[in-house]
Amino acid sequence: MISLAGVALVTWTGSAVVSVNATTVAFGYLLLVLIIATVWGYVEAIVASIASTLAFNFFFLPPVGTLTITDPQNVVSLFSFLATALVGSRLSMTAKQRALDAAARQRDVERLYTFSRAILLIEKSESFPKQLVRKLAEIFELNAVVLYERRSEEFYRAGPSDFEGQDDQLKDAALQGTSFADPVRHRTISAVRLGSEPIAGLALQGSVMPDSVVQGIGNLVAIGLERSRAQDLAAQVEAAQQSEKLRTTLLDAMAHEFKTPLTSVIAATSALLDSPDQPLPSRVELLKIADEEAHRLKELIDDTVDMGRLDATDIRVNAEPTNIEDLVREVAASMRADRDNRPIQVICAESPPAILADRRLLKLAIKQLLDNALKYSPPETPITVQIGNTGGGISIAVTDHGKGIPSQEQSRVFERMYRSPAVSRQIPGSGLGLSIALSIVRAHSGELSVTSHPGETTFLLTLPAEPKGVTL
Amino acid sequence: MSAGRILVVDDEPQIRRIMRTTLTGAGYEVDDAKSGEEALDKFRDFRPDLVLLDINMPGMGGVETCRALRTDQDVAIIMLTVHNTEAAKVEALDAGADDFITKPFSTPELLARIRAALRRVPLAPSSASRIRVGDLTIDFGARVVMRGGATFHLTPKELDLLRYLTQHANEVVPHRQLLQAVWGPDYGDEVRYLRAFIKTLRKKIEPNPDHPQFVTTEPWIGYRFNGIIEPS
Repeated sequence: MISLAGVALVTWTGSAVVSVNATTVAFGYLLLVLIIATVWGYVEAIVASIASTLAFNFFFLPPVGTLTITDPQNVVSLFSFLATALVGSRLSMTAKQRALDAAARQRDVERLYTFSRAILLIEKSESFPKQLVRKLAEIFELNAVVLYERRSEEFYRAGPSDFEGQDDQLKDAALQGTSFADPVRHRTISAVRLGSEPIAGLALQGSVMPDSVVQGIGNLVAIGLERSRAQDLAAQVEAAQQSEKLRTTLLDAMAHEFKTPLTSVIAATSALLDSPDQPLPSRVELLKIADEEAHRLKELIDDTVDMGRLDATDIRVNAEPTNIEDLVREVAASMRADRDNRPIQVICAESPPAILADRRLLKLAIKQLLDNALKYSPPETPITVQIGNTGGGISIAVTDHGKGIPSQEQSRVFERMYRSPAVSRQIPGSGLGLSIALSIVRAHSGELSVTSHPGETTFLLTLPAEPKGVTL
Repeated sequence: MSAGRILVVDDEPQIRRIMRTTLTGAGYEVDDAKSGEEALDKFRDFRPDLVLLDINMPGMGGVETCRALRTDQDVAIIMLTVHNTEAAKVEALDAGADDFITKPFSTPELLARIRAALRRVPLAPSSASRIRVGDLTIDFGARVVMRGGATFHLTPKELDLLRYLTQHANEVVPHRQLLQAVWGPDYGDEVRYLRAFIKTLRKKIEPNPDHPQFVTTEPWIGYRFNGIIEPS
């Protein structure tokens, strides 16, 4: 319609408004055809060309007012006009198409780039293929994306509409590398290959994309899946290494700690077996030592089992009203038997408030602090435990007079399995005690900190009277 | 009369208690110390023949204590360790211990090791108490070797080793024979002991310990003392 209107306009202008000769009008028609070809399309341009030819003939070529041409020269010029109009419109159409293609290609490249960036930025929070198909649907504005992963044999779907009934074709693509395209419904199913091996099938619906783009998407998906697989594998390896390290450290520490009482037990029993006829007092002494040390072994095993069971990230607090002074004295007393009667001085200046705490856990935490104090200070130096009232709760300060902890290590002593290089070979330990104590204290909404200089180290434990979220 | 005086050094009170009971029962005179520092103090007054020394102690550790005690050449030192590793044993022997025993151990084993450490190679009736080999002089009575104007003290086990090797000079002494002669019949397979002791011995008697001339190694068999021995 617009082409015909244009032709009419040029005809009217040429004949009524300004009086021009036939050649000028012909140029006017030609210009019109080129504009129509550029702006609209080839079909419109052809319609315009034919209409222009007819109008030119009818209105401007003598005899004017008829479609007959008397001068054979005019016949030639009419046909050359038609040919020029057609070729011109064809050329301008091609140029237009190229520009459109280039724009489309640029958009495809941009989308592929955005998609590749999105793959790199995918986080571990959700399953990788799930996020991958969602990003793919968003970026390429597809209304359905389905990915079938061969390794997990799972389908991942994204996009506003469904893509039903193609599961078998997808599986074929993933297993045999076959492809399938349905241009009418804007669907493609292609294989995602890593090298020559198909690893997944990918179905896209909602947009016709050149093969190269589909291929590009397939490659990116393959790289993404492989990368995610490699990351999973690395994480698994790291976790395995961590747990292996924990296992060996624990075993090593256990071997150390357990061997001391075991040595006494074996030495005593083997001495009795070797010379059963020794004097009674000596036999009794040996039996007493064996008995005491067997009990100590039992206690060590109980503690180790307790510590092993504690999941540092999720400690359940079974709170009950607790008199902290009694609890500390109880722990201190339990440590004396095998510790040379070293003085553990418990000072309690003002009567501390009763607090809500898990007695078993808190005892374990305080025991770790006392055990450390005893372990890392010379045998003749005293250990003090000062219990204070902080207003809203209580504080327990455990002080020893050992070498002290170098300042650069003070922040690290609470790390799981950290042991100061200065003592790790000399004094047995697992590096778990303080980290467990800290976890227990935190589960009670409390704090545990250390201050240390050569000759004095204090671990300060503070607990609120009522831990957050813990009630009776 | 007691079989000997033993100082037990361990930070674990129960270990000291059991040692005291078993060693006293075996006829030794026993004293104990709970740290390396205390051990050095008690050592001066008690004058033990043997020290049982725990390697893992807070403060002054066992290895450091051993080095300090080693300035006294007479005493035998047995280290107690929980590490049953080659490195721990070599460290103990390098620090000057005569033997080590791994926790946990049985009392009969401990007593056997103590007897071995206190054992002395008997003097052959013919052997001189002072001999000369080239420019090396060995005084078995004074427990010293003199070389190039310098005097080196020998520990009892080093002295015993040297005595046995010189008594069998210029013949190959197999590892087993040497071990049993110096440490006693319970020993025989502890070739790495020998290596550690020969190493420290060479440092004292050889002008160039890396290329020994007096005590040479016979690979896979044993050691040989080379030289013409003259009474001095």
